[in-house]
Parts: sequence; structure tokens; C-alpha cells
Amino acid sequence: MAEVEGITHSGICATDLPESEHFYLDVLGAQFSNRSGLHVDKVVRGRSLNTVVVLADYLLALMVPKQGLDVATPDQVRGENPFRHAFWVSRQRFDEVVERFQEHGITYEGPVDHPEHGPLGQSIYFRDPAGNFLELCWRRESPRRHSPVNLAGRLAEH
Amino acid sequence: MAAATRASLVTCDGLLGVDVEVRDLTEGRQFYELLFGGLSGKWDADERSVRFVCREQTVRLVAVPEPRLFPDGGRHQAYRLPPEHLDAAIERLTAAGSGVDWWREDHPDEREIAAYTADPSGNRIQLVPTSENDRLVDHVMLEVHDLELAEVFWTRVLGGVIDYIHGRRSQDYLEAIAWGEGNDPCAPWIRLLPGAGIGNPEWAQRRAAHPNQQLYLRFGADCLGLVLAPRHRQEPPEEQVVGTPRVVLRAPGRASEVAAALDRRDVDLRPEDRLRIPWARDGAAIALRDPSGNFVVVACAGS
Repeated sequence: MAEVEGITHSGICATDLPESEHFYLDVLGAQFSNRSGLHVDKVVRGRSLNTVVVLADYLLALMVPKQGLDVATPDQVRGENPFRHAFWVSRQRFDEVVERFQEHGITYEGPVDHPEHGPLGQSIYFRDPAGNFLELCWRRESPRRHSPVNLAGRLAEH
Repeated sequence: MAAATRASLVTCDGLLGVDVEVRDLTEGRQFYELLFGGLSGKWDADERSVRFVCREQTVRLVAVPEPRLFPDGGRHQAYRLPPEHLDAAIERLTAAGSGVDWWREDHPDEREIAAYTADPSGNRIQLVPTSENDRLVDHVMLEVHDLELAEVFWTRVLGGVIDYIHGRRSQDYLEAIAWGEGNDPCAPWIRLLPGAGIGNPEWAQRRAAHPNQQLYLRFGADCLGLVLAPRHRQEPPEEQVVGTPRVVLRAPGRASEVAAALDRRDVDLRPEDRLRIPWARDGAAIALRDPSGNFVVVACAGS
């Protein structure tokens, strides 16, 4: 058994890095950590190009694919497979955040009501500019404490 | 507006010219007289340099024994010529023994092929045919080693406004394939054939054509491009801030105000807050160097 000791980050596709940076930093409110792949020593080796952002207590590496990718049509906001990242806000802030999405013109599906006795209250489903499926929900149970990512100093480049 | 929210330490609003290094002033002047033939401007000279002043901009040739030039790199000066003068200029240059290449670049304004040549010392020159004759220097492209550090310096220290970014989209990588197959006449410095990547998939291990990382900035109406060098160059000593080749930017404030702003550093320079900003003042001019060692002079409105 591997007995992993934690999850460090998810690498997700960013087909247009400046656009994805704007989405995660300015719309979702992520914190900028670092970029990688803009230094000659990395570029001449063909290393990956990515920007690392921290959304609440989760670290996302927005990675530019060097190959063409199949992307769902813009009207599809929920994946045909269940793969997505889900983030939560408090019940009090949920409606406010949905309103903010409307102001930014973000297409979403929902709010969808979850079963009354389940852990989740409502969710909306949406995509980032690269087509990654995302979910925002509020939880019925008391909000759990964050384990903030330490951004003191530059994080080690991936 | 609170000082902490200002966009940049200094707000440069125009490109006043370039100082380029040449081996021989007489030879250099002869070349540039052929190039600028037909433009209304004025030449003057001193012991170490000759200058061509055209409208608000100046191209200054500075004599040095060994010009700091990198033939495999992307540094170049682009000069504006009236379209009706272009053919004649190319004819004169070709007759004088200068070769002309036809390439395109990635900035939206440079997607069509254009003529490139080099002066006798090897300074690369792009010829931009345009009937807009408001300035001589269309743009300057500089080489840098770290585009993120460079972006902080040129935008948040000197006030450049990002105009165009190339190399950070999947589409840029897909587009580069055509160059690798010999079907796209790109200028050689905007594409790369990097070494094999570190991934296991077959596509990650072969040498595929990539876009080189580029950033284009506006200072007022003028454009400055930054492109990654194909390898790390030896930089001038860290404390050296006065040197050539260099670009000359205009700032509306007084030199004392610009110097104070550089010392205060009250603009958020993250994520590159390790950035050093050495500078020196000479009257109404402030000399600086970017993190890759490119020299720049900020010509202020007064001392």
C-alpha cells in the first residue's frame, strides 16, 4: 500500500494561460504563487509552462498543453464524466458568489439542490476558460477549518 | 490615488531613440545614410558617436571595438520607411553588399513578412513600410533571460503597458509546428527547437518546434518587444548601469522625482520582489539596466 501522506496539487489544462490566470485570480479570488517556464534555461529544455495559484487551501498548476485537446462545447458546463474540482463557500456567501458569476458573464448550471440529509446544500457547475469542469457548493455541516497553503516566500517550482 | 496602488514607479510614455554600437563610425554612417535616404532628418557627430535626429527620435551610433551583438538572438531595431522608399532602400543596401531576409513575427502587426537586414557591424534591422511618418523607430526588440523578471521591470518599474503576449497558449505551440516543417517564414528568434522534454510520452521526447516566449509593451504609442535569448549570455557587471547598446525612454516628470520614486519602491513588485533596481543620475537623465543587463536611459522633462 502506498500510504500517501497528502495531496499537493492538481495540474489542470490552461489552453490560454493569461486568460486562465485572469479567471482564477480575478474571478475566483485565487492567490498567485509562481510561474514556471518563462526562463531561458527552462524554455530551451522544453520544460512545462505553468502558473501555480492557490484557491482557498488547494494548489492548482495551470499548465499549457503543447498538443491540441478536445474541449467540450462552450454550452456544456457539466462533464459527461464526473471529473471536476469542487470548491465550497459558506451558505451565507453562496448567493453572493453566484451573483458575482453573473456579473462576470460566467455560464453556470444550477443552483442544484442536493438531498436534504446529505452533506451538501446546493451546487452550481461551471467551467474555466480551458474547459475544466468546476463546481461551487455550500455545505450543510459546519464549515471545516482551512489548512492554508503557506505562501511565505516563493513556492518551489514544479 | 494612494501611492501603494500606483501601477508603476515611473511612467515612461515614449521611445526617444536607440544607441547602437558600431565598429567604425564612418562605415556605420554610410550604411545608415543609405537606409534613411529620403527621410528628413539631421546628422551630427562628435568624437565617439554620430547621431541621426528625425522628428522626436534619435538613432545614435556609438563606436566600440567589439559591438555587443548576438547573431543568433532576437535583438533588433525596426525603422519606419515610407512605402515608396522601401524598394529603393533595399536596392541601395543590396548594391552595397547588405543581405536582405524576409521573415514574419508574431505580434499582430507583424504577421506579414517584412524585410530584415544588418548594418556592417551586424546590428539587425527591420524595415517597416508605413505611410505613418510620425516617428523613425517603429519598435525595438530586446533579448532577456527571464521574461517574468523582465515583465516586472519594464511594466512596474518603468510603466510599460502589456500590448501582446506570445507563447503562453496551446494555439501558439500548434502554430509553431508549421515553422518546424519549413512552411512558415518566421524570424528565427521567435521559434525554438528545444531539447527533449522530461516526460515519457513519445511527443514529449522528440524535438518539436516551440514558440519562443515574447512580451510586447507600449510606452505611449511606441512599442518595445522582449524575447527570450536562445541561451544565457554573459551579462555586464551587476552594478554597471551606464552602457550601450541602450534604449532611451521619455518620462514626463523631473529626474529628481524619478530618482525618488525608484528609491521609494512603493509599488508592489511581487512576485519578483527580489528585483534589484540599480540606477545613476546624470542631469535630467536616469540610467538603469534591466535584470538581463539591457541598458536603458530615462530622459526626464527636467533635472
